[in-house]
Amino acid sequence: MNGECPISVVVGSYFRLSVDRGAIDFEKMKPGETKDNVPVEGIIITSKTNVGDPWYLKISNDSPLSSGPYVIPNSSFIWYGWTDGAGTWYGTGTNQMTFVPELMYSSGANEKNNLPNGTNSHLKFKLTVPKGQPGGKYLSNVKLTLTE
Amino acid sequence: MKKFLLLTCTFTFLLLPFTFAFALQTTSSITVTVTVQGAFNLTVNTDSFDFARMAPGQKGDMNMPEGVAVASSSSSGNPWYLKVSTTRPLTSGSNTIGNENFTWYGSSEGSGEWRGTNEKNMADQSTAAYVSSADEAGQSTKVTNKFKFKLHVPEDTKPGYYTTTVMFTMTE
Repeated sequence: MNGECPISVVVGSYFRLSVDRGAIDFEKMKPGETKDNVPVEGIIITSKTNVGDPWYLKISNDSPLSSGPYVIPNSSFIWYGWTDGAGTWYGTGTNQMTFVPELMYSSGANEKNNLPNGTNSHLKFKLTVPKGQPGGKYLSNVKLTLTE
Repeated sequence: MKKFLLLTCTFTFLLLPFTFAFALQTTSSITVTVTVQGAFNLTVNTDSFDFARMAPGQKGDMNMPEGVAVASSSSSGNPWYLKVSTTRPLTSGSNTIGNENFTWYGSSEGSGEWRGTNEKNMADQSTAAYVSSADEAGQSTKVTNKFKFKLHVPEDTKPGYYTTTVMFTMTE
């Protein structure tokens, strides 16, 4: 005698972005000075999904580096990096930060479901403080967006 | 039954666009900071001037009618002050001419407060010669102030070659 017991399971969708730190600091800089390769070890951005669709990683900031009324324009703030993934890395090495999210990486065909390890990308920044820039502590929030 | 099917279909068609409208998206933020150091810059267009030969009791002007041009700029974001002083009174060996006899005045091309429209003597170190405006506090705007100097040689001054160093100090 056989009995049947139907079993069902609902696998939830997983779509998550993690960054290995929440802040970076260019520390003290003089007007006219350029600092590159920050942070030296790079920021590790891990994108994980099991949704099964192509996904994209974008970068932007809401406002330029600001200190009170003074700003360092985004044209002086460069992002670059590389990826461990099999998709397409769009950084040219000289991308200026933008307010509109700019494409950084698009997933490869085998990354539509990349659990458990996800796909790591690495990000660095270069900043030039314009000559004559007023002194002060400048701050900006860089936003990383993982989207389908 | 037909009504049920129709309702089901309608529901499905209504639901489908919503299902596709919600593309997944998630964000993370990194706070980026930099501390820009303020740059202080002070230049003087000459490293010496003199009053040539003067007799006791005489009052005379320096030998540079255009004065000494002192250019200041700052990117610190804070107001700054310019002071003029001497490191010591005019001195020749053990003899001196007191700073109350050594006066300065001049003009400013800046938009701040110039305090040297009237003569002031070097013995009075209580006030700044120039106070920057808010605009000049952080924009690296070069401000030129022109200083002129006068000397009164007291009647009882002994002859000699008297020297001192005039110092311009820029501070926040």
